[in-house]
Amino acid sequence: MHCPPFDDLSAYVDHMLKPRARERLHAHVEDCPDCQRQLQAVYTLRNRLQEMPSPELGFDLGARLQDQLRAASDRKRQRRTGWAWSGWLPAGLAAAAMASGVWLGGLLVAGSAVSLPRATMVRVFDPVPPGGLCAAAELCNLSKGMP
Amino acid sequence: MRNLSHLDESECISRAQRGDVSAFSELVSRFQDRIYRFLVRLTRSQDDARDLTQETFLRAFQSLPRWTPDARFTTWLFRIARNLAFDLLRRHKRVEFVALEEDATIVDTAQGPDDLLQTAQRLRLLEAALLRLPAEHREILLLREIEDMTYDDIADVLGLNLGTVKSRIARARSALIGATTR
Repeated sequence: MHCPPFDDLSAYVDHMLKPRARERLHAHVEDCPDCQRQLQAVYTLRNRLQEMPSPELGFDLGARLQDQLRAASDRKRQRRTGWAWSGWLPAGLAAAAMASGVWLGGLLVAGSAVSLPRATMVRVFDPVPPGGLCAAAELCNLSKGMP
Repeated sequence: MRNLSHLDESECISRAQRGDVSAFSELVSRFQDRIYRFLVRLTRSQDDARDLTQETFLRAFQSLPRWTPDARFTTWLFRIARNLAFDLLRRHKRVEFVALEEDATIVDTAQGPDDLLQTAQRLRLLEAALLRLPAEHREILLLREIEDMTYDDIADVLGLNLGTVKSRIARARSALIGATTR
């Protein structure tokens, strides 16, 4: 077997090779000083990286963020409430429109019930227009004799 | 603040999703140092890392109602942190190399006497070499070697497929080994 690519050696260290490939690589490495050296370099690198000092934030961020988190939470709640109201708004408007339609319709129906003067009562050639003032008493008196 | 350290992670998350700020603060306390140490090495700046750690948790709190258990909470946090860091690096055009110190002749002294001074020196040089790697190599090594994430989790954080994760880890290792043994 030729030396495996470095990708495979790296995956071998991470136990990410399939069982057959792992066995083959393992058998090769046992007899290959070059691959042994490369594998050792990967293990050494890992150990040293893990030995590096771990920087810490140095304060309790959770406690420090409490006020901002509460404010964000309140904003979110308000937005949700706003959405709830805005969700009811179209329904409310539709109901109001329907109610006003019914009301206006009712007025029309009621209006038709208003009694109109009978046709016989209307004098087509009345010299005084309906609601008009009588300009001359004798003209107005004329109407008395009419049906 | 209530002490919620007895709660397990999933209980804290579900309380936080219902708007319990104390439960979310407990999560912040548990993960803040991991996120910070990842960010400080990715951005190479303590100030930026501090700001981004805070921003990571604020974003996470805002997005928490949409979080589902399909994604691990840790990888989800790291993904937010990583995306924020890359936004910043791109904005500041700080994605590539920084100069090594003048005296940073990197020699592998593993076989020599291993006193404390040498160990400290070795780690300092390793850290310097790590910071010189391109950000894509640096982040994947940090996730694999420091955070001990699986390939699946790394793929999830970085939005890569498993094959790319495997080859990128190998390239990053090779580059760092090369840099520390020249």
